[in-house]
Amino acid sequence: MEAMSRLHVDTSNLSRSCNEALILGSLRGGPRHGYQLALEIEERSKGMFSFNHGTLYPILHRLEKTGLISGSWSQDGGGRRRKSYELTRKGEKHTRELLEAWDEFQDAFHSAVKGEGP
Amino acid sequence: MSWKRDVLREIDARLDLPQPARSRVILEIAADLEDTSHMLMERGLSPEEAREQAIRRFEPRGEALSEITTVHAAGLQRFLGRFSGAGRRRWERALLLLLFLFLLLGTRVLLPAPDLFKNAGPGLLAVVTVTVGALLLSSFKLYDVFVRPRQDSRRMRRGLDWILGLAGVEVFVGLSAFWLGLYGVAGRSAEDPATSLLYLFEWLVEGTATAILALQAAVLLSLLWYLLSRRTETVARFEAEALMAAD
Repeated sequence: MEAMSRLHVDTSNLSRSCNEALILGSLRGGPRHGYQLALEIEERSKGMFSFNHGTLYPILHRLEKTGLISGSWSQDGGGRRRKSYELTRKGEKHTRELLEAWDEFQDAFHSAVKGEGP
Repeated sequence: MSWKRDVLREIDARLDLPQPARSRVILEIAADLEDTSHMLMERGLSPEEAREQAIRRFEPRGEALSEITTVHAAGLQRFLGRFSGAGRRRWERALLLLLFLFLLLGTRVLLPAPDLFKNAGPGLLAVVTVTVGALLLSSFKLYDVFVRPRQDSRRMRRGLDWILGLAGVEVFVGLSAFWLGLYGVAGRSAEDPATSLLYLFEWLVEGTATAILALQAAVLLSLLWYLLSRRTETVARFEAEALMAAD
């Protein structure tokens, strides 16, 4: 039997789980500002996952509080402060496991809806 | 008027967060809002279209704002959040009272030697009166600065310098009591030189005890003032940055 990943997709709040996975997955590409994440996810999903940017911040801040990502402030040439986020080591490990869990979820979902099974 | 101001003001008004967390969120959103508009312009939208679309994307939604509040709420606020508004006010008053009692009793513990109180001279009453007044004021300011849910730096700053002023009064009272005691000893010694040494020792014990108590109270008050001022400055800085970001 195939080994199951330790993490599971939280199906009780699928929308939140999906947003978290999208954000963590995007951050694998390196540090990003909040707006960059939203635009990048929208582009890469060809508009399938279109965020109201306001909904990003609670997720980003919660992930930051749990230590999966870290936020850092920087100042641009005009003296404006902006915040960017990157995955922590703990976050990288968590993301790997989470994406595996999503693969399993996707397989299980297809099996269920298409009637495919062992 | 700045194109970002309305949306940022609305977010600011609806975010039930303590400072400086509230201003940090506003700062972050302000920068992202501007960058989103720039990015949309790079994609070919006119400045007006880009701004409109950026504002639409950042339009505050109640659910998201309350989630931000939950994420950032301090431990004490999360605890208080479990109670209704009225119950919460009662809890806040009870906590304030407990804090005050702790400070009042703590004075007795923090000032280490009980003998100091026993030996202190007539200046002790003045020192204790000023200390109790200053600690009462500090308790209110501690509530204002660390506990009150809607914080603003102007209210936090109000009356803060009185704490430092009262610390100065403590020093003045303690040192005055010390030197006035010496003046009294000198007068009594002149009248009765035979017992002058006894008077001198009495003054040394009483005067130094009073001065020590006054100086310790002054140090405690100065530390409280420093703690409250630092926090107030941080909040004011973030408020100012958030305001500038909106312009």
